[in-house]
Formats: sequence, C-alpha cells, structure tokens
Amino acid sequence: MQLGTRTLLKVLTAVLLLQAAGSLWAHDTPIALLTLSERQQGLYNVEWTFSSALNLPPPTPVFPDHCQYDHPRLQCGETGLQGRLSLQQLGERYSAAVVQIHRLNAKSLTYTLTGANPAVSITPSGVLPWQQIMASYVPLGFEHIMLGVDHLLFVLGLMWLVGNTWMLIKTITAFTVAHSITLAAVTLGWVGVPEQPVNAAIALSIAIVAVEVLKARRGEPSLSARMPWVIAFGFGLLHGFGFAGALTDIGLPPENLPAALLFFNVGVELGQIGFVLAVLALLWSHRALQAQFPRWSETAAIYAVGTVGSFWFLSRLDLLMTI
Amino acid sequence: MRRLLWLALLIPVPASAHLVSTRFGEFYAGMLHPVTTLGHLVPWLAVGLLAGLQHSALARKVLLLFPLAVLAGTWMGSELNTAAWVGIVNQSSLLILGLLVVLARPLPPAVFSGVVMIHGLSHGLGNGATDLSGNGLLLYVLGVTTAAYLLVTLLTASSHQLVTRQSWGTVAIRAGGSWIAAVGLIYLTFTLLAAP
Repeated sequence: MQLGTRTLLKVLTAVLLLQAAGSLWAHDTPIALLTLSERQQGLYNVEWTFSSALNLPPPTPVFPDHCQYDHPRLQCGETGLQGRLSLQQLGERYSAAVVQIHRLNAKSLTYTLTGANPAVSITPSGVLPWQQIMASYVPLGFEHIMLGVDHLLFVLGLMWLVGNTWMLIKTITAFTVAHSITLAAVTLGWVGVPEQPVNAAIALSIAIVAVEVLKARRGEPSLSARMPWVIAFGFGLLHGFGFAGALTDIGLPPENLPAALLFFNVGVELGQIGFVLAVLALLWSHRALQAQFPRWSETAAIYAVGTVGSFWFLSRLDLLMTI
Repeated sequence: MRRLLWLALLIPVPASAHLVSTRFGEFYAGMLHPVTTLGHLVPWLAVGLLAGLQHSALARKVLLLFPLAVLAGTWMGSELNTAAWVGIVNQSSLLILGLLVVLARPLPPAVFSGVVMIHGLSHGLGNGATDLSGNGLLLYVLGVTTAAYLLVTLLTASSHQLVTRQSWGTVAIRAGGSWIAAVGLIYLTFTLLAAP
C-alpha cells in the first residue's frame, strides 16, 4: 500500500486496539448445552449446562405442543419428542445453544441453535435441511471472526505488509485457504491440537507480522515483504486451529457435519471479506480527501500492534504454564 | 399509510444497547445503534453530503470534528439525563442539514465547524446508553464513534469525488438534500402537531 494511504490503517488499528483493551479474551463464544435424556418411553430428563461471564441464565425452552414440561421432567407421550423446539432469549444471552437428545432405542441427536435461528424441527432421523444448517452456522462463523480481534489485527497487519491490490488478493486468499485446511482437518478429526498453545501462537503471529511491517518500512530485505502470501499461508494454518477450537466448542451434529463445517467457514470468510472491503473503502476515502496523519503516528501504530500481540502472547503463555 | 410507517422509522429511540443481538458485544451494539435508527442515520449522511460540497481542506475537517463531537456527546448522554432540547435539535437536523445541502454553498470554516459539532454533539447525546457502565460503556461509546467516523468518511469522500469529477454531481447531491429536507419538514410538522 502507498504510504499516504496507509495512514488510515492507524485509525483502524487504534479502534481495534481499544476494542481489544476492553476485553483481552474477547474470543469467548458462550455456549449453553441442553441435554434431554429419555428415561422411559416419551419421558425425558432436562438438564442445562452453561457458563457465562455475565452470569446470565440459560434461554427458556419451548417444547412441542404435545409435550408437558415441568422442570426437570419433559413428558411427550407415545408421540415422543418430535416437532418444533425453540429457545427464547437465545441471542441476547448466548451465542448458541447445543441441544443433545439421548433416546432409548434410537441414536442420539444433536442440534445447534443460534440467536438468528433459535428453533429447530426435530425429526426421527435427525437430518436437517441445509437451509437450517446455513441459518445456524453462517452467523456463528461471522460472529467468531468479528469478535476475534486477534484474527482481525493479523489480517490488518497483512494488509499493511502488501504492496499492491494483486498481492493483497493473493495474500488474503492464501490466508483463507490455509485456515480452511486446518479448520476442516481438526473438525473432521484428522488432527488434534491443544487450544491454549494455539492461542498463544496466534498472538505471537500478530507480533511477528508487526515486526515484518517495520522491517519492510525500513527497506530491510525480508521474505514476508516480497512474498507476504507465504507468511499469510503459514500463519493461516495456525489461525485455522483457532477457528476449529471455537467450532468444536459449539459442537457439530454428526448427521450434518460437512454442511455445518462448510457454512461456519462461509461465515468466517464473509466476515473477513467484509472487514477487508471496509478497510479498502476507507483507504480510498482518505486518499480521495488527501487526509494524512503525521508520519510518526504510523510507526507508533505498528509498535502498538506488536506490543498488544506480545502482551497477549506472554499472558497466554503464562496461562499455559500455570495449568 | 406506507409513508407514515417510513416516517415512524425516523423516530430516534433511546439506546438500550440491546437493539440488535448483543452477543456481538457492546462495541458492535454501539456501531449498530445509529446505523439502524433512521433518525440518526439520515442526518449523519447529510453531514457527509454537506462536507463533500466544501473545498478539500474544509471537507477533511469533518473526519475529525464529527466523530469527536459524537464521542463527547455519547459519553455525556450516557452519564447525564438527556435534555429536552436534544430531541428537538435532532429532529430539526434533517431539515437544517437538508437545506444546507440544497443551498450547496461553500460555508465559512467557523460556520461549517459549528454546524458539524453541534449536530455531532446532539446526535451523540441522543445515542447515549444510560444502562451501561465501565468497559461496556467505553466499548459502546467507541462503537458509536466508529460508526460516525465510517459513515461520514465514506460519504464525504464519495460526494466530494462526485462534485469534483462529474458535471452533474452537485445537482445530484442537491437533489438528495432536497429529499432529506422534505422528509425533515414533514417529520417536524408531525412532531409539532402531536405535541400537547
């Protein structure tokens, strides 16, 4: 990017850093788990498992009309638990709720409900139409990237690093391909990586990109300045592990696994593309108005990004050591 | 009836910070509050159009002045009880800003800065969230300020490009201003008629 147009990145950096300052662990995606265990034919035990930083109660379940609910008992008679199940106040309290139904003489069912899609139609097979999976998982992926200040700061660092539009397309594509690979690999069970070291390494990736940006500005030779897509791909693999951690926390219905994975990733990409386009639009606006900030402030902004990345890295490392 | 429904959308509602799913956090709640309330959104767009009609140096001022005024206003509006005049100024802003866009005259820097700051401050006050405190309030105020910066920057740059590069640019922007002024006049009339 041209120096003059880069100035906007400083403003964006400041906003992201201030947002990050409000909640260093803003990546939390609070999930509630509703377990329905069949004790006798048509009689279920209802149990909530939830934790919320704000100590919010779980959403209120509304069961099919033929079921009678008197916590913790749910009586659905001979018809069994079939029909519409919805969770009220879901979006206001939790990102998502996973509903697990353990049946006596049939396989268990798992559904994921979100604020945008707080109801599900329970069927004996458990297979959901793709539209319903899309309505659940696209918003979850979008929410995850928009709340993931560390991912956004990394993408911002990449944008700072690249020299032109074509290189930006290559770099963002490399990042997307890489994190999609590891996201799929983890959620399909091909590889398993502990979450906390991954989070520490993601924080480190932000600090490294900040150092690379500084080196590039000084004109020092570096691989990342010539081929930023390489660094984007390498660290993209790492960020994919982070996305996978969130998706694993949410829970994936085995019957609908490929579609759920696909739509979660689509949500992540939509958020990422939206962020990149917003930054580009603002860059264009500043260029059009010839609005520039003092040159020193750019260096200060890069140092701030690197400092936040380093702070997160050390904090997460400390957390890792104390366990 | 349909027009009345559209007008109803212009009524600024108190910011409860729960307009949209709050799981996105107070920062995004702050960003979305003015954007989803036409009574704030349309005057903010008018500020961008008005700035785009000024010469470059003056237009650039809005990038700093308006978000700072909104920041101060939102913070004060969250800490204090909003005075009655804020509602009247906000309701009048559609008409005032719309008319200034229609006139399409270069304004003296002091007048332009004053108009931008008064409207930024009053709309900021109208966006205050009294039910928040601490980090939640900080994030909410930053969200509203970011929305102000994003909207005004994009609109100012777009309209300025239109005015300087297209022969019909000024006419198009003045037409847009006339619609805003007309809506503002109708809205203000309804409000005054409804007053006891």
